[in-house]
Amino acid sequence: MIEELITWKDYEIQIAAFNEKGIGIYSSGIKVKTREGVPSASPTNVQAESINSTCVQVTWTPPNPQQINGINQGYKIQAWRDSAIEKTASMPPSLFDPLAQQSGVICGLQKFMAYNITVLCFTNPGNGKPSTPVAVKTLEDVPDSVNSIHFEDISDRAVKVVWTPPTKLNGVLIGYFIRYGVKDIPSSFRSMNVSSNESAVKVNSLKANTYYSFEVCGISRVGRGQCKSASMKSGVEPVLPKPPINLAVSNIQPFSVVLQFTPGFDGNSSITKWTVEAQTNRNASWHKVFEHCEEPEVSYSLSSTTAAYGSAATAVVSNMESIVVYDLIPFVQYTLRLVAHNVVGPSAPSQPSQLFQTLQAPPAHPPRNVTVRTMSGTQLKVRWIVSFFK
Amino acid sequence: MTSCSNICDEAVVSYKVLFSHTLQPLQQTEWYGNPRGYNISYRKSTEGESWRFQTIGNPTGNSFVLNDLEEFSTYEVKMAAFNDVGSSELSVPSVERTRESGNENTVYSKIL
Repeated sequence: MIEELITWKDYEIQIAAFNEKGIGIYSSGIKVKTREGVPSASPTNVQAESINSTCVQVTWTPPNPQQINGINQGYKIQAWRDSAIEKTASMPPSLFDPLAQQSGVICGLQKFMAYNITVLCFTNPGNGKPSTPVAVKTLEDVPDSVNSIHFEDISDRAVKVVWTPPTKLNGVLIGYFIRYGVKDIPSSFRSMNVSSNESAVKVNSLKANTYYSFEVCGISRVGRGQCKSASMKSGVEPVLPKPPINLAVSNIQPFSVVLQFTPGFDGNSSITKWTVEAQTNRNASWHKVFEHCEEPEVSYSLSSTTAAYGSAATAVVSNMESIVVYDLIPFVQYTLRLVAHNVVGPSAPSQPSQLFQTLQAPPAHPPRNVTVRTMSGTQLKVRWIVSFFK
Repeated sequence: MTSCSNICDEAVVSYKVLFSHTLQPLQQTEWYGNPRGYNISYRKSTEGESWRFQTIGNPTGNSFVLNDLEEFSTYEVKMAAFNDVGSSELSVPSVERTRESGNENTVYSKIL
């Protein structure tokens, strides 16, 4: 075994026998070449410059040919991020002058992202060592399109457009561009800009019952990104609600009663408030005794104001509602009626409920102005006011 | 003390004369039920004395004379109204002292 030969070298080998008298005649020589190795030097003088948001141009000086240890098959440009190779580009050595400075382009990188670039030379048996890394950042680009668009609080004249930011900003997001108008009527389109920390915008002054298109696009310092569009139909113009029907009272208490009813047509807008009016054996004119404000329910207002208004209305009609009427006076005969309110205004009053009497409760307060006066040595006269007026 | 309660009483009398008739229909409202009457609680304002009670079963009554009290003693008096289902809160206590014995009529007429 002949060791410590140089890789990728031609050798001639002759063999001679020897004894105590000396070395005999060498055989005729055979020619062999040692096998290729991997390059023992890396390219030097590596420089990298981003040419757009996804490509980087790299230049380098090839290693000394003596240290390539084989036939130079080419170079590999590697882009590193977080100490892992994210992208590799291979290219053959220059055919004209293998010693001259070479350059190559690596593409498919992420936008506006910092990378470390290394270059290595490789032969058939394998890769040489990579060069010392150089840092480079791809250029900023326009943002990707926003992730999603949806609509909230749709009414006949306004809508809230809500979106989620793009997954990839590709730079510094400086805001959003929103464009909207009546679908298929380009002349109706208007636009607005909002800042980058907004993710919703309320659009007013829509026409009722009309299809609208909306586009939302992110803006970076480079420009406006791809827009995402969605369309919706504005709500039916609301009108006054109709009064509820089928009033029924239950769970009569001294100060409260449960009033059940079937809501009437909501006027294409959610009912915001119910007012309870009363007639009593002490006050024959109808007067307001209680107000019940509806909790704002997103789902309810959506279902009743979107295009599916017809089905929503029938769903509501079949739905019995009840409210607890407080602030009643004990031991009083009442008839109640109900008024529905929406954004437009109050409905006509409903038909009155049946007559009922609230239960008794202990007296509201003790007699007023209790005074005591001396009558004699053994008598005190206590006086008070009978009337329980307020 | 005597003169104060006297003034109060006069005020009450004139108040009642003015309003009790005109506002009669409202009377029922704050009874919150069928009126039954009043309970008077009273006791000597000495420590450890227990309350005594007097029920007046007439809801339209407006005065009552407590008898058999001790002479020249201070009493606390509280009242509540009651109906079919219960009793109101108690009024704030009123305090008065019975007279010394003798010369009752003289003193009384002087006050009036």
